[in-house]
Amino acid sequence: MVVRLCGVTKKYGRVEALRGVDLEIPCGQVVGLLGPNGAGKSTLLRILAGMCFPSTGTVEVLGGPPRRHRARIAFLPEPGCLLPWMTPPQVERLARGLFPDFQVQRFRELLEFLEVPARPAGTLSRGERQRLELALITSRNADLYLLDEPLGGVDLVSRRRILQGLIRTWRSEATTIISTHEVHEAEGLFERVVFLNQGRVVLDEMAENLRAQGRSVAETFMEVFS
Amino acid sequence: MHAWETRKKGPVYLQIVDNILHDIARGKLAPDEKLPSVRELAESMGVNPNTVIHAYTELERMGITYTRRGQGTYVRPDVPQDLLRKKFLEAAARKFWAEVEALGLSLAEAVQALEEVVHGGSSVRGDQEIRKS
Amino acid sequence: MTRSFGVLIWLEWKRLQTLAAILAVMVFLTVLIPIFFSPDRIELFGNLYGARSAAMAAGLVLTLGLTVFSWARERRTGLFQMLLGSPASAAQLVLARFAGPAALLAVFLVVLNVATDAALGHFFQAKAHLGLSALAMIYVSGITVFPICAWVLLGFIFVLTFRSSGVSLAAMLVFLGGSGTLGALIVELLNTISGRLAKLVIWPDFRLQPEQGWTCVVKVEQVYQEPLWVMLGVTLGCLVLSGVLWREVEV
Repeated sequence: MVVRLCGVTKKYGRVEALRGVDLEIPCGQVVGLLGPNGAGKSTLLRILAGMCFPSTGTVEVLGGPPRRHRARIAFLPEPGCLLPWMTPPQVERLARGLFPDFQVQRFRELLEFLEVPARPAGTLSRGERQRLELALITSRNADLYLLDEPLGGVDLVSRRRILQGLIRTWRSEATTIISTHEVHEAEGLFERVVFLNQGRVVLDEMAENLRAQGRSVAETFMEVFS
Repeated sequence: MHAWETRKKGPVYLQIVDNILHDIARGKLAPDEKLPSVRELAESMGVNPNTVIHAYTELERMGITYTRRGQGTYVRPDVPQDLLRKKFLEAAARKFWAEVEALGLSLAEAVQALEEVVHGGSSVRGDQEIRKS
Repeated sequence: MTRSFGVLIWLEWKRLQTLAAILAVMVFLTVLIPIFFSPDRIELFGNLYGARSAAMAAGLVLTLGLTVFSWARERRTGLFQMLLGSPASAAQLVLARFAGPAALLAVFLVVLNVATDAALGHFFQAKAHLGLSALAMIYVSGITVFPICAWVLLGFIFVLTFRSSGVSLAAMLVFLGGSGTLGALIVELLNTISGRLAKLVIWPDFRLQPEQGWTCVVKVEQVYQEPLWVMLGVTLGCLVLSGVLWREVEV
C-alpha cells in the first residue's frame, strides 16, 4: 500500500474538514478524488503531502509518516507553487536545486508539448500557468503524485493538454491522486474514484465497475452530489 | 479511432476493443498491421494507459492480435475479418430493423428504402409534399 | 546539499532585489540631502548624523516589514508548500531565510555608515577611519540586526505551527509575551556580566571641537564585547528553535 489512512479527522478550530476517513491505495493506481468545493479534497491531499497533520487518526505514506518520504512525493498545491516573476528557465533552476529526482530533459520536452510561453508566471493565463506547474511536478521521478485541482478554472484546450501531459509522463510504478470537479474530461484517466462529501468518503469504486453498471463517472458524480 | 470519445456508458476498455474490431472489419487495420502503442492510444483518447493495456490483453485473449516481444501488438494474419464484418453488419441491421419496426413499416418497405438510399434519390418526396399532405 | 542551499540563497536574492535597490537609493539620499540643504558646516554635521539615524531605523523597519509580507505571500501562492515538501533540510531552509534579510541589513548599515563617515571626513578635513566604521556596524548588526531577524523568523514559524488549530492570535500573544520576558532577562544579564572581558576598539566617533574653531576630530572608542557574544547566542538559539519548529509547521 502506498497510502494508508486510518480514521483521519482534521479540525480547523471548530470546523471539521475531514471526519474519520479510511482509505488504502495500492501502488500504481490513478485515483480521482472527487467532490464539491469544501468536501475536504484539498485537506486530504495536504495531509498526504505532509503539509499538515491529522487531528486524530493515522497517516502512512510509502510506509511512514509523509514528511519522512517527502523526497518521493510530488505535490501540486491548489494555489500553485510559483511566484509571479518566475520564468520557465527560472522554474527549472529552482526545481533542479530543490529536487534531486528532477529530470531537466523531460521538463523541457513537456514545456514544448504543453506549449508554455517563455514568460514570467505572473503574465501567463491561468491555463498556461497551470501547464507550467504541471510540467514542473511531472518532471520529477516521484513515487506518489498528488495533484490538487490541476484542471480547475482553465479552458477546455488547456484541460485536454494537461491530461495528455499526464498520460505522456505516466509511469506504471507511480501512484497518482488527482482532485478535481471537472469530471468529464478526466473521466477516462481514473482507474478508481473516491467521492468525498463534507469530510467523508461517500463512495469508493473502480471506474470500470461504475461504467459496467451503465453509469459514467460523471453521471455518478451528479447522482451522489445532487 | 476518435479522440475523447469515452463518455459513452460501458467500460472504456470494451469501447477500445470494439473500436479496434471495427477498424479491422472496415479494413483500416490490415492483418499483420501494428496497433498504435499503448501510450499513443491512451494519449489520443485521453484514457489511462492501464485501460489500453487491459483492452489489448482482451484482444489477444480473443485471438485477434498477438504481441511481438519488444515491438508491440499486431493484428494476427489469420484474423477472421469476414466474420467480424458479418457481425458488425448484423449489429447495424438489427438497429435498422428496430427502427423499421418502431415506425410500423414492413420488410418490403425497408428493403425499398435501403435500395433507394443506395441508388440515390429518396422514397420521401421532399419536405414540401410532406407539409401539403 | 550545497546545490539546494545555493538555490535557496538565489531565491532570497530574487526576493530582496527590489528592496536592495531601495536601500541603495536611501544611502545616496542620506548623504546628499544634508549636503545640499545644510546652510553651514555646523548644521551639516548635525543633519548628517540625524539623517543617518533615521535611515538606519527606516531600513530596519522596511526590510523586516517587507520580508514578513513576502513570506506571507509565498505561503498564499504555494511556494512555501513546495519548499516544505522539498527534501532540503530544515537547517538549510531556516538558515537561507535568515541569511537573506540579515545580510542585506548588515551590508546596508556598513555602506550607510562608511558613506556618511567619508562625507564627514571630507567636509571637516578629518581623517576618517572607514575600516573602523565598517567594523562598528558589524558589531551593531551582531547585537541588533541578527537577533532581531532571527526573532522575526522564529515568530513567523511559531505562528505557522500553531495556526491551523485556529489560535494564530493567541499564538502571536504567547510569542510576544514570551519574547518580552526573555528580552528583559537578557538585558538584566548583560548589565551584570558586561565589562569583565577586555573591551573591543572599534568605534570611530566624530567630535566637533568648538574651542579650536569648530574643527573635527575622530575619537576611537571602546565597546563591551559581552553583548556581541550574548546576542549572537540569542540569534543561534532562535535559529535552532526555528529549525525544530519547522518540522511541525502546517501550511
